Amino acid sequence: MKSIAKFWTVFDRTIGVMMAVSSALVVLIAIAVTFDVLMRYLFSKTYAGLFEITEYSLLWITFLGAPWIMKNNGHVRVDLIVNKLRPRKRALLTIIADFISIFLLLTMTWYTAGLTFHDFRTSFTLSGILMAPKWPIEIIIPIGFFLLLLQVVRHTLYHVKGLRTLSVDAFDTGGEI
Amino acid sequence: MDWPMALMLIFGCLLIFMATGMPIAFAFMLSCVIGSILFWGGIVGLEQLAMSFYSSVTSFSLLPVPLFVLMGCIIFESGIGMKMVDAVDKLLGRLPGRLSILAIGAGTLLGTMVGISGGTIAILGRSLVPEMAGRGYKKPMTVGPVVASGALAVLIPPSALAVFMGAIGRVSVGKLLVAIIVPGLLLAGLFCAYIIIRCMLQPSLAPSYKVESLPVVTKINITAKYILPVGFIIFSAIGVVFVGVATPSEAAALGVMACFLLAAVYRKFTFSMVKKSAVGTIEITVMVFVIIVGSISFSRILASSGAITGLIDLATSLPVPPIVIVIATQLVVLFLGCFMDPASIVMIAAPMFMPIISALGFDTLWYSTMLLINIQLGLITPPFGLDCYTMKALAPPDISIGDVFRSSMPFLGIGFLVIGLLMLFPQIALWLPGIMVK
Repeated sequence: MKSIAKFWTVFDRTIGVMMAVSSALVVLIAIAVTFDVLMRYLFSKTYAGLFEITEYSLLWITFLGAPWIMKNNGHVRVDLIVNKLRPRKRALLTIIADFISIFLLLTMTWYTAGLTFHDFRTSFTLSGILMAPKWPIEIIIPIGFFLLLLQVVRHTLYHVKGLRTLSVDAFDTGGEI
Repeated sequence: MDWPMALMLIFGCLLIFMATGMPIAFAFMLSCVIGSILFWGGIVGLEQLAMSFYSSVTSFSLLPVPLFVLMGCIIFESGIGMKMVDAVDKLLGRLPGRLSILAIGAGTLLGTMVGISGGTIAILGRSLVPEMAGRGYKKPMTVGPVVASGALAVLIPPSALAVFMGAIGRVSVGKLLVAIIVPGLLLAGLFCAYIIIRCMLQPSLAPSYKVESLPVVTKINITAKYILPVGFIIFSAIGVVFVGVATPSEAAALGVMACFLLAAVYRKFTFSMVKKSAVGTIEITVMVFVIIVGSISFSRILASSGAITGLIDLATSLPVPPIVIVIATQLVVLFLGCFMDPASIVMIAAPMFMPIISALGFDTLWYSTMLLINIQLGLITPPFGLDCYTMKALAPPDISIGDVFRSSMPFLGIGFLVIGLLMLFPQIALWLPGIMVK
């Protein structure tokens, strides 16, 4: 049990760092784009690759931040129907939704990792000024999906435990741990 | 598979998955998994789906979303926002219903930051509503203005929701940001006019209390110090787009820097402020971008299933005036507001309705403006409007859900009036973008 607890501590720290990087990226983009505009007007110089870099950053921001948001229950849900159910039915529905989510995230991790590996093997480059290789940019997608998967598994374990004791708390918070 | 079947299947999946209470983003992705297997050639479709995920958010036109949100977060985390609200409070003097007008103003301002969900209501419901009740304000003038401010927030720039609408519905983001200005001001004016007139007719709704009267010099001072700078930032962010100097993304980045600068001038520029603003921004951005990852692929699948062309054919061949179809699509959006958040509604409605609207020969810029107002109105429409339930959950216990709906009704009416005016006079939305510098 101790090693499991330690695993989740490391996990939390990892997604926390990823969240911090994601937050830093958004500020950096704002600075870089402003700098570029100023350079253009003051010295008629512009860095053509910036456009692409900001586009890639948006992908990284999304998948770096997603696991942390999942843990803090920040993803939007429709709870109109779930909230109307009796505790037992509601718990069951939540757990069914958990298992479907696990299936989804497994599939997505597998296929996006496959695509990344394929692009790595074929040295696929993106069209654009930078001619950047695609795999280092898209690798964040399978990583993000995998960490989301772990977090959902964690929620599911928590929900299953909650089903046994049927504590409403476990479901009210969506399983914040 | 014929298209009505395909449409029902894809939407059926989406709605069923959403109903289980899983994150909306997952519901979109699951429908994509099923859809891609059906319409993109079986299991191979999943590989195509993986590729589609990559290209969904790597789009420059989405960049203003996090940057606009960051602007809002800086203004509030640095305390400039609350100072502005205080300043407006002092300037209003003894205006009838002053706190209600303040609620509208604060809600609109806050909407920039949290514009994507019912977050504005959460903040104002806890802070301003109890104060208003303490001053003897009656329900129509407390909860009504707070829930109504959401409709205004999406129309007053910088509006992140408008950026979505543009990016997803393939409408020029810059033009849309300009197009919503006049309707936004119109709606704001009508809201305030309603509050003032109603409070003059029924003074008991908002009893006037003694307000310290300030000398003119102090008023000018407050305006110069707290209202003009932020006003200037917001207007210049849209202004540079208007005169064609910068793209919306660049304007948003400049806006962020200006906000940082302003925070520094007020001596509020600290590391913890920057950190809090950035984290707050990511929370909102990621929440929506994860949905985009699924929903963009969703609309691509919808397109390959033939459902969109089918719908266009149906809409253009129906023996009714085209405006009826416009109204029908707006009603669908109103209905979606019963159980979905604004960003998700945009992601479902924009890719489906925009092609129909342009096939019918209407201006998509005009249509997007109406859609934006309508999405927000859907959230306060009885009997299920989501925002009203948020308000109920936060308001003091003596306020029932019926009270919330009743008090937001007049504002709902005004919202519909503005949509009606837009239908009759498209120029309200199209005039300003028309004179934009290309």
